[in-house]
Amino acid sequence: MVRQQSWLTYVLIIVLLAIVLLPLISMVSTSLKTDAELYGSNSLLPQNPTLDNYRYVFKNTDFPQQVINSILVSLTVTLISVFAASFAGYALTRFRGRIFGIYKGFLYLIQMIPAVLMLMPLFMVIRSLGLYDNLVSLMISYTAINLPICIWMMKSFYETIPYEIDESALVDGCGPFMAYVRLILPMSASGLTSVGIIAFIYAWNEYMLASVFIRTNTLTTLSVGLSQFSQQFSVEWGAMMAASSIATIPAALFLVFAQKYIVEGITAGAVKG
Amino acid sequence: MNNKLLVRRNIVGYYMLIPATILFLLINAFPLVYGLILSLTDKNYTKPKSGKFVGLENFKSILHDSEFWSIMGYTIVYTVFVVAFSYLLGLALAVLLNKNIKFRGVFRALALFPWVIPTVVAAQNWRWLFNDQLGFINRTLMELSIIKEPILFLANADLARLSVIIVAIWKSYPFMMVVLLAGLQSIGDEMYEPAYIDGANRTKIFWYITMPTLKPMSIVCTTLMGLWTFNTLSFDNIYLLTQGGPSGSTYVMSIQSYYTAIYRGKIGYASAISVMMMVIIALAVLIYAIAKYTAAIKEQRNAGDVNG
Repeated sequence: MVRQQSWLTYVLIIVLLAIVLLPLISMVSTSLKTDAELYGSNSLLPQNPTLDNYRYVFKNTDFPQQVINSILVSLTVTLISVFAASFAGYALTRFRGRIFGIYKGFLYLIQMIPAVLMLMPLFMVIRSLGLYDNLVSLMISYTAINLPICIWMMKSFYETIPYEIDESALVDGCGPFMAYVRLILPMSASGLTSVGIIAFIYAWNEYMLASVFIRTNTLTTLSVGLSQFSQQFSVEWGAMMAASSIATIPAALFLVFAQKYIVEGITAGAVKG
Repeated sequence: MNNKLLVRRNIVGYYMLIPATILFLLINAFPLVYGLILSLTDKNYTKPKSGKFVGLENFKSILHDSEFWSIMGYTIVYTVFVVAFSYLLGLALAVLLNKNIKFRGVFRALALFPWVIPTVVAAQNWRWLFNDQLGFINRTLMELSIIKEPILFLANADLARLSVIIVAIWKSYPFMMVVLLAGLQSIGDEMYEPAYIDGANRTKIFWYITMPTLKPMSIVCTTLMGLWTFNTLSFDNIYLLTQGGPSGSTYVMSIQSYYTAIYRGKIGYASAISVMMMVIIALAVLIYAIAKYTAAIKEQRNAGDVNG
């Protein structure tokens, strides 16, 4: 398009982004400040950057264990989501029948259910399965709750792959499932990556279920651990901001290395659905 | 392809739905049905003999509870404000970041940040910025002598209602931005060219070409965000910022339901509150459908007038 008044565009973008990113800038900067500086000055940049807060978080809190828990939960959720969403997404695009139509409607409706309505009954399910205070409870709940959007994403992805490809395989005598495994799956890397990243981010960020399903501090996820910083240690802002910065690392990595997939994931889940 | 082959194909399709279906039945369907049933009982954790079927008794008392009405009002106001302003901010950034400029990818990545970070991180960061003694906003305003007393962003009832909305807008706009950017990218230069040739100015082009093209996208992203905000996002955001305080001023329906269940043990009543949330969503969908239907009829009639 026409390059016009581009300096104004830059100014507007930078001003807007500066406002929008203020919380994150202040988070990193506060995490690098000494306590004296934190209480003394209002500068946005640390004068004597120090890693003391990070050392404190690693040595004196349960946070490292909680990060490991979050990694375990998020990776498991990612794996199951990719597997289940790919299967279901393929089934919903390639097969015709009343059940598949109902299933699509069901995926819509499921997103209209308030999470709190399911919270207590789900808690009872988890407890009767013996999964209370166990990370497995979070793994299955996160997967199921995020699955409708993941299936929706895979469905819109498979719609972009021409049906002729699997149909030619069927003509050659290949079963539909083998056609999916041999031909379609190898072409799905980018769709599966999007789904995986969206599922990972959801699991990494979730708070409500983790706060109810897990009781033991060393068993919980980083979201719950972070929320306890203000209660447990009478608000140690420096340590809290160090822990927050650590919790933001995956998001930052995804934005740097996989922005395209995040964007595709969001638009496929929302727009084409 | 003959019928037999088609049926055989479909069976494979059913098999492929099994993993997702098991999870749905266990985690979504059963709790949903159970929740609906609970809303019709007087189930209470603090009373061992409770759990009797009471029909619509819970709903009757909810509708007679003035607290419920004011919480419902705030929930709706909260949702509308968050959706409207995150849409505007998302639209502004989408338009800016759709221009052919340097570092576009970097800017886009930075603008996406709030959406991908944990809600807890967002809440702690904002609590820090909003802090009355040490917070950056209050300190800066005091240093510039704009204010004398610190602003109690989260401790003053009215301000807290506004502050939690601001944080929610901040967390939600990137979603709008991404969806609207996808829409903007689908508008080819050739759509703008005739307007440029006719000498239309930028404002006119925006209102007469860009916005109408973005309409379907706008409907989708505002609807989804409205649904998410109303149902779940509002809970995490407010619970982590103010816990519903000060003195209940930032309660939304999901928080009221949560506290009723967790702290008062009234599971039946709490479930009824969340069922009311579904009723409100259903009403909103119905109103939307009626509006769309009457608009379509009107259009048809107008077209008929022109023709006949």
